[in-house]
Amino acid sequence: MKKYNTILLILFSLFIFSCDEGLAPLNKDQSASLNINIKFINDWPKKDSVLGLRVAAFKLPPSESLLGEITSGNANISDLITDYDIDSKNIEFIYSKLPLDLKYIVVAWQYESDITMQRIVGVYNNSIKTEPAMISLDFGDRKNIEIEVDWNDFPPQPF
Amino acid sequence: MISHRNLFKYIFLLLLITSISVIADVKGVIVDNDNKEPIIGARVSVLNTLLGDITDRKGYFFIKSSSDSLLLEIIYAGYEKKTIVANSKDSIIINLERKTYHSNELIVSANKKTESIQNVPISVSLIKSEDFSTRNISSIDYALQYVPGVEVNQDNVSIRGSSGFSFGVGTRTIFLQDGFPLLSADNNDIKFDIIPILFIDRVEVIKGAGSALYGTSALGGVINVLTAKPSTNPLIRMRLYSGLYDTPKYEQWNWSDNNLTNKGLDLAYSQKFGDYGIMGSVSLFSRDSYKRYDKSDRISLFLKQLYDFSDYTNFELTANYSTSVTDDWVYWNGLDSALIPPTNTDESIAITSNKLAISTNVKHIINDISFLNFKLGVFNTYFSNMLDADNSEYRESTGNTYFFETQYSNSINDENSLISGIESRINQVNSFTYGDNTQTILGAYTQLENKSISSLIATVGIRTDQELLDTIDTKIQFSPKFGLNYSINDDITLRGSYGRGFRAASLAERFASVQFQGFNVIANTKLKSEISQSFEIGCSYDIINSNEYLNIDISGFYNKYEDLIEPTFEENSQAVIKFMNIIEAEISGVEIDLTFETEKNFTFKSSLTYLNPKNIVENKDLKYRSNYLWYNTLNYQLLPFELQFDYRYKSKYNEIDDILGLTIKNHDLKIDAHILDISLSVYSDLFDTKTKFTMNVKNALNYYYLEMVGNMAPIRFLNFQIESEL
Repeated sequence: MKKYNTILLILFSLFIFSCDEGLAPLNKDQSASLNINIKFINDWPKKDSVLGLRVAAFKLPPSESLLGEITSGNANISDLITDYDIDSKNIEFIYSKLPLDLKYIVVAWQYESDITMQRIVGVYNNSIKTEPAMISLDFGDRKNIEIEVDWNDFPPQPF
Repeated sequence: MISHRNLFKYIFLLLLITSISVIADVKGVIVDNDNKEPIIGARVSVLNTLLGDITDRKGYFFIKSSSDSLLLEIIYAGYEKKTIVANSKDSIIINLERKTYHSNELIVSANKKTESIQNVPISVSLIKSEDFSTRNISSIDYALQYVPGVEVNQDNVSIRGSSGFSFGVGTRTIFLQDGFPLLSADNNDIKFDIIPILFIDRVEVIKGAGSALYGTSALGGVINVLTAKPSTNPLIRMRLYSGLYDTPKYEQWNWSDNNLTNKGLDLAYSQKFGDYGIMGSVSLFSRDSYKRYDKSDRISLFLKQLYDFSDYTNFELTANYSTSVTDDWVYWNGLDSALIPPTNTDESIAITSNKLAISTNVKHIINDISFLNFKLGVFNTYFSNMLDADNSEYRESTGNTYFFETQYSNSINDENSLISGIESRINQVNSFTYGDNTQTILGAYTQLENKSISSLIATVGIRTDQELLDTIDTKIQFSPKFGLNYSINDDITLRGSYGRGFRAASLAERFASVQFQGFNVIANTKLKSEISQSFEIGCSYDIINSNEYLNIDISGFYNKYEDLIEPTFEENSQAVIKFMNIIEAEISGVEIDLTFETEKNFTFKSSLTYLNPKNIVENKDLKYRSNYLWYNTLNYQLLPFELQFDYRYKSKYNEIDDILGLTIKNHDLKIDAHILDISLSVYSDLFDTKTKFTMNVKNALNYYYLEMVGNMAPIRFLNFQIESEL
C-alpha cells in the first residue's frame, strides 16, 4: 500500500504545482456606480402632497405598473427622498451584475399615502424630454448623469 | 433470375426449415466464483459455430440449439476462459474464476467482427457502462472527454487532433449506434442526445482513418455505441440526478441570484419473452447552465425490439427520438462578463430541435462459417430558431439520411476470414438555411484476415465510394487498409497499420447561407472531399505478477491530410465565413497508455498524447489543437464505497482565427486546462434493489479555462445521483 500512497503523492504534487486558478477578469473592479444628480426647478407642490421622491432605474422600458416592474427585478429603486424644497439631490446606485444597459431612469413623485399613487416628474434624456436616454455600465465604470425635475412641466407618463 | 414471388417462397422455406430444426434451448447464468455476483457482458459461444450470446445485466444467456448438448466457451475480461459441455434440459450456473491479472476486452468495431482488443492492428479505447454512472454522464460527448487522445470542443469530437473547430458541422469522426450511423443529413454533425444512456453496454473508439470499412466521415476515427441486449428476467432501472453550479469566484461573473441547476431522470425497462425481447427508456433533462442564455430542456425516448425467427435468423428494430429546446448561446460578452452573451443578443430566441432514428437489423447465419447482416434505417433531424422567415437570422432545416448496408462474413477456414459489404447513404435536405439538396454516397468494401503465420494476424481490405451530387463532379474514392498484429509472447504484442480516410463535404458546408450573432456563412458549392492517410505502429506490454497487473501501450502515429475543409474568413470582411479546401496538413504524435490494477480493487490509468499538428501550407500549427493531452483516472473500491479521481490536462491552443477578434471580445486568450473531477459512490441493497448513491464534483478546483474562443468551460458543479435497479 505504501507504493500506492507514493503514486498518489506524486500525482497530487504534480497537480498542485501545475495549476493556478485559471482565467480571471481583466478588470479587478467588481462593480460600477451611477451617480444621479437631480436638479429641481420651479416651485415645489404643497408640502403635504410630497410624500416623497424616488429614483428608479429600469433595464427595460416599463410596460406595467412601476411597482410591478420593481418587484419583477426590472428596476432598481432608491430610498425615499423626504427632503422638501431643495435645489438638487445626489443619488448613487451601485451595480454588480454587469454589464448592464439602463434604458429608462426616472424620478417618481409619490403624491398620496397610497404607494401606487406615483407620477414621473423627471427622466434622464438627451435634452428632449419625450426621449428617454440609455446608459451602459460595465465593471469599473463611475458614471454621472443629471436629471431635471421641472415642477411645471412633467415628462410623458409611461402608461 | 429469381422472381420476387419465388424469393419470398425461398425465404419462407428457409425460415420454416430453420424453425423446425430447433429442438431445445440452452440457458443459464454466469457468475463470479468468489462473490457469486452475475457477470454482465460475458460472451458465451458454441464452439466451432457462429452461435452464441452475451450475458445480460443479470448475467443470463440464452442459446437456441438443435442439439441435446453443446460445447460452450465463456470469455470475459479479467476472468479465466472456461469451456464446458451444457445440455439443454436445465438452466445452468457457470462460475468464472477471476484471473489474477487483466485480460483482453472484446470489441466489434475495428474490423466489423467480434475479436479481442489485443488482436486488432490499431488503437482502440473503450468506455464502459459503469463509467457513465460513476461520472454522472448524461450525454456521450461528456464521456468522450476522458478517452485518451480525444478532445471534445463543444460538439466537435477530435481524435488525435483530427478536428479543430468548425461551427458544429462536418464531423471527421463517424458516430454509430450498433453500427448504424447517426450523423445528420444537413450538418453531418453528431447528435449525442439521442443515445439512451442507461442502455449503453460500451462505447468503442477507434483511432485513425476507418474509411476502409465505414466510408465517408471516418477520417479521424470511429465511435460506435453498443447498446445492451434485453434482459432474460424483467429489468427496471432508474437514475435520478440533480446538481448545482458553484458561485463564480469573481463577482463580475456572477450573473444570477438564483441557484443554477442541472437535473435529469432516466427510466428504463428491459425483458426477453422467449424469442421476443424489448427494451425501452425515457430520459428527461433540464439545464439552467452556468452561462446566461444557455438553458436547455430535453426529452429522449428509446425503443428496441428483437425477435429470433430461429436460431439462425434474428431481427432488431430500434427507434431513438429526442426533442429539445435550447438557448442559442454562441460566445461571451467579454472576459469581464464571461458568463453572459453579448449585450445586444436577443435572448428570447431558442432553438427547437427534433431527431428521430429508426433502424432495422437482420442477421442470418447461413451455416457454421458464414452469415449475412442487413441494416436499413432512416435518421430524421429538424431544427429551427422559430423566427419569422423574413428575419435575416432565421434558421431552419429538415434532413433525412437513408442508410442501407448488407454485410457478408465468412470464416473461409481456420486461417482466413472474409468480410464484404455494400452500403448506400442518401442525405436529403429541405432547408431554408441550406436549400433543397440530395447527396448520395454508394460504397462497397471487402476485407481479408489471415492467420497462416503463427502469432501473426494480417488484415488487408479496400473500400470504394462514389458520391453523387448535382453541383460537383466527384471522384471515386478508394480507401485501402493494411494491418499487422504480431504477438511476440503472451506479454508483448506489436501492431502496425495503414488506412486511408475520406469525408465528403456536408450539405451544410456546401450550401449554407445563414447569419447568426454577427457571423455570416456563405455557400461554396465546389467543395471537394477531404482525404487522410493514417499510419500507426504500436506495442502493448503486460507486466504481471500474482496480484498486480500493469499494461503499457505505446503508439506512434502519422496522419497526412489533403484538401482539409476549414471554415475560412473572407478577406476584407469582418465575419463572412466560407468553408474551403485550403489546407494540407500532417499530424504526428505519440500516445502512451498505462493501466495498473491490483487485486485489492485499486486501479490507476494514465494516458499521455503528444500531438504535432502542422498546417503545411502556412508552416504553422493547425488551429484549435492542443499539443499535449494527459488524462488520469484513479479508482479505489472498498465496498460498499468507491472513490474515483479524474484529472485531465490539455495544453492551450497555439493557433486560433485572429479575425474572430473583430466579433468576439478577448478572443486571443489562451490557457492550459486542468480539470479535476471527484466521485464518491456508495452501493446499497436498499428495498431489495441494487442502488448506488453517487456524489460527484466536476471541475473540483473551480479552475477557469476555455472550451473554445469566447466560451468559458463549465465551472465547479456538485451533483447527487441515485441509480437503482430492480
